[in-house]
Amino acid sequence: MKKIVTGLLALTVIGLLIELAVVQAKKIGNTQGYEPDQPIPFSHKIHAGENKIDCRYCHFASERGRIAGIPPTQLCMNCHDQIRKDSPEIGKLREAIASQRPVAWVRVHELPAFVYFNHSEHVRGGVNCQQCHGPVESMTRMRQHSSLTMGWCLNCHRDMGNAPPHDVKTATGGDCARCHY
Amino acid sequence: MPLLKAPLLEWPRDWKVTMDDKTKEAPQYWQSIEGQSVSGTDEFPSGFVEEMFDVVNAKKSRREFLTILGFSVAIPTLTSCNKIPVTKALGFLNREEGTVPGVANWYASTCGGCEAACGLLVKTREGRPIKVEGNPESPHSRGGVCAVGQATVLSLYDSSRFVQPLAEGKPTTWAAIDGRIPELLRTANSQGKIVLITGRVSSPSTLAVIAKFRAKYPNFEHIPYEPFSYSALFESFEKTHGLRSIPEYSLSDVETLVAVGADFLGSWYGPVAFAKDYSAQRDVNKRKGAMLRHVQVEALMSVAGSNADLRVPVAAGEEALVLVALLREISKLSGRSIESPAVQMDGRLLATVRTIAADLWKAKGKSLVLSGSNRVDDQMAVNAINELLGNIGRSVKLMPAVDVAVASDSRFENLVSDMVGGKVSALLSIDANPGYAYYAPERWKNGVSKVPLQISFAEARNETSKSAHYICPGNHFLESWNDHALGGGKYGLTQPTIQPLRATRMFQESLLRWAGETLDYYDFIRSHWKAHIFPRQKRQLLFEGFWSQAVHDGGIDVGAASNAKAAFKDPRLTLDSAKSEGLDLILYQKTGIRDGRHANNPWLHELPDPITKVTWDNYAQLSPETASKIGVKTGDMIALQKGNINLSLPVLVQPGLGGNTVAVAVGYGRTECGKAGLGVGKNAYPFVVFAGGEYQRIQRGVQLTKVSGHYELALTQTHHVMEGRDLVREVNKAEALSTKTAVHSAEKGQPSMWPEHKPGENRWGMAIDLSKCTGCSACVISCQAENNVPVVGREEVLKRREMHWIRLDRYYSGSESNPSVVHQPILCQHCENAPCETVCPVLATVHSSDGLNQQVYNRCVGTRYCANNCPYKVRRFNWFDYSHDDAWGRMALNPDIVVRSRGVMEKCSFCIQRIQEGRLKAKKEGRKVAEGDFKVACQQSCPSDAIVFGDLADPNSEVSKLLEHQKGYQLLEELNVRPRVSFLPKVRNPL
Repeated sequence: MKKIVTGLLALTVIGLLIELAVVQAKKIGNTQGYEPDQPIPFSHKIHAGENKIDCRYCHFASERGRIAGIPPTQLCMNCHDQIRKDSPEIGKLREAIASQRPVAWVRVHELPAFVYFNHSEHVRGGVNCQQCHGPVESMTRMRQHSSLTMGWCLNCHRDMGNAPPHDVKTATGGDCARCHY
Repeated sequence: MPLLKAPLLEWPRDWKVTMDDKTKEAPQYWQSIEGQSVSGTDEFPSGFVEEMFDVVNAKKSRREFLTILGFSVAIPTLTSCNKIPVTKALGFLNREEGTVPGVANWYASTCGGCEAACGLLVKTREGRPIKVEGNPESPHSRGGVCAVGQATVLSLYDSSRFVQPLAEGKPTTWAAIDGRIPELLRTANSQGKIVLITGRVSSPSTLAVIAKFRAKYPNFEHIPYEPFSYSALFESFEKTHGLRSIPEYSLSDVETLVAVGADFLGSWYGPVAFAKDYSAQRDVNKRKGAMLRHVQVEALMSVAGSNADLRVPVAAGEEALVLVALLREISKLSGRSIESPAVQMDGRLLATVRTIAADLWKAKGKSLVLSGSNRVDDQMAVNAINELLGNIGRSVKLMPAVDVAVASDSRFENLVSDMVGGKVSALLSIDANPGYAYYAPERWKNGVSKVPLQISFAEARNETSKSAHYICPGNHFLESWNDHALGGGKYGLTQPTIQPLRATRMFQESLLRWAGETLDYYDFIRSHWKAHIFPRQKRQLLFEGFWSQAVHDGGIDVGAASNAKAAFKDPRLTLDSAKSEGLDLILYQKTGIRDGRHANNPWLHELPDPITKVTWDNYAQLSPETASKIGVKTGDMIALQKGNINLSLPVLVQPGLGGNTVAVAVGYGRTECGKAGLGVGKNAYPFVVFAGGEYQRIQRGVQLTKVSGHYELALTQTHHVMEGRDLVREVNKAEALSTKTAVHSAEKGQPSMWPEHKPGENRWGMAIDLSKCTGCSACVISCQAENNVPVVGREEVLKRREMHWIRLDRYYSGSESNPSVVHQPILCQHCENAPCETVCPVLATVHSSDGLNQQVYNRCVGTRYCANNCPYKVRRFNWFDYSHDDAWGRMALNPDIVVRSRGVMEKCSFCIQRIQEGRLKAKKEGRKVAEGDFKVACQQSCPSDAIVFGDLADPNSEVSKLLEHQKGYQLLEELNVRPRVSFLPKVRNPL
């Protein structure tokens, strides 16, 4: 009897360890929820939420190119030349322009180098920014909302009908080198 | 239980694996002398198997091995536990208009890689130039750019470039330089002569800057210096036509072309412009049967010679004899006698010359004779021949030498004498490196030691800047403004595509400052154009419009200044027919390294020479006959000796090299340059002779002795050999036109073991015309730049680990003494039934719906099964993490392509990033991707339009039409892998 209990106990422990390992392994490289401190506590909540500034006013490149881009500092000054110009945080922007050293923001969303993602075809294709980036208009500090893993990409594309197993509908939808090159 | 019987594939009865009769008669091809004798029996060369296991040096004890093993397990485990690194994202402070992050901008410019000044389109990403391509709208080069031009983008990010001005070796500022140097120059002006040595200057504005400088310091002389000058060519027109002229050659109406020792498709004059017309004139299909005939008489086996219909190998010293003999024959045919010395030559050679002369005479007015010689008498003979044939004014246009300062060898020689005599008080140098390339280094050193003020404008450290007191580093051409007179009213503009990376300054700007001018060089060019070039045209009324158009197009054609009419004067020719003991030495420029100025560019060092297929070295080429006479093989060391000049070099036995000749490339053996070029090869410039007013690159009476030692040359010609199968095909002109002779061998429609792929919306394919490919290798460097292909170095090339995605296989056929050559670009064939795909255990190489064979780097675990199973040997394995850690060099990387890491297989992707870009462009415009939306990198750079890429699903695309060509064939059709790359055979036009 004692032997059986010990055996069962051992099996449970081993099982738990394996499950832990699998759960941990699945997290490797997954940065969902990443929410780093930024050199300037910029709030998307104030800008995009309360003041309802269109995302594409600052992230204008998202319609045209591969990356949405950090807006040029001068673009911030379009408004902040007038608004809250005495704030010490705005002072950091002025300082950056004066010293010709751009603000070193901490990158939140980062895909591995072997993934090619193009914002413009998604934005022009009518995908809402929030669909991937979450409720940005309510974030005081920017947070990675989605997992940005390949499975996450494919789930959405499957729903749209242009990823395996439905990829016959659109050319090249499910090809590896659609994104990996 | 009964055994399940596997269904037998039913083979059609009439299907044969054997070749048809036509191919049995085809010439036997071989790639190297060694390969010819062993014909593939030596499956692994000696030491190859051992080498395979040499990743961790095998001579380790068991204990050491275990230590290494332990570490190699522990390191990845530990490193993978690290948290994901924090990355910083930097935005622009102020966005330049037109720059969108992630979107490329293109600028038209003019190449500064050599004197040819081809038109360029420069691709920039986030303000960094990352690729140059030929500008199809350039009136001068008309698209395409050579290997050297492609590689200039890497030179821009050369980390050995000067970062700031130096005074007596100490860092200083431009303000300090500008404060000090005018004063020193004033003193120098009163004490002696101020000399500026440059390369060839074809920039009207630079010449105007130099004139300003001269006005300030009247005791001044400008001496252009080119180690491989065209001094005799330019001089000869003055003697025969009374006109100092820069000739403009045009093959667009030529039917017979005879080149004597001129590698016009490799390094002579302007290879890109030549290749464009050459391939168009030889396109027997498009021209409905007409085809240019090319005869090459030469000692060296050159790129041009390898394409000739008739190639006559002669000893280097015989090239001059052939020219005079040709002149005598033409003069006989034309009935106009021209005084020329009697020629004594071999009867068979004379008979060949007669045949060539008769062929030229048949095509009079539509022919061209070229010579690469730097003897004025040789060039005068060529002028006389062209005159008698009525070619002057047609294929040879005499453009008056305005706005151009070309090198004159005798003037440079006088300068060195003046320096030795202490008459030169200041020496300024830019783009010229006599400290390395001058034939008598001791004399140069002696001369330099007597010049009290030396200023160098060099971009990077070189032999001439070594002794300079002041270094005032100039900009790379991609950081500069400049203009170029291209002859006949054509002007090119160079515009900066990036801010200067370091505290450097255009040398013209320095000269303007020191001459007391306040204009910067950009404004100076504009004012010069406004005064001198703008008035010569009528299309634009306002200068601003004219200027914007010129900047946008990368140049402008203001209409031809008249094709100068010049009266022909009979030349008085002399001939050096003295017998000499020993061999004839010919110095030549390699396609990549040229005269040595690009010696710090690793891409060009690793580019296999189009003919010899050697990387990273220079060597002494001997013909098989000469080599066996001396008793040497490839890799043996020999010593060349003439007078007190000695040089020991490894031998390379080169089929087709002229008898009694040894050929050595210059440009190697640099002693002062960055780490890539330092100590690579040996300097052969000391063998140059100054004779008859010019620097002679052919030296007679060189003694050759075998010395001990062996040096393994990093040859790629024996790598990836396809074991003597039927890979290159050739036909003559008549066969090409006949509808009967098909070169297809295996029949199409073999049964396949695999299910057919579902046809996608597009089916990408490529057609390569072997008849147009000249072997120039521009595609290799273009691909390297586009796809972040690493450089591996000499040691790794020796281990067959070069990484080029496209290679040029060079096949010989016929005798060793004078073989015919075919160049064949080989890249991934994107097979329908790809053998690599079936063996990959992790599905890292798969077929896409548009027919590409895709390599998925992030899936690859590096089993290398695919490479083993590839019949074309086009897959490349990353044995190491190849160095991309140079902070400057990294900037040349294409951000749209991942840098592959160690343990990953890679290969040609048909430039998937360009396909995607074209597709995206079409998608945004709401249409299907069409022909012309994009071009793949090799296709874009090809100066002779040999590569055509497109959509096979579109029956009207150019590639579809070429594929239907009945002479088209695919490689190893009998394997039934169904490649997506198709070849058209080499067409020859024999005499």
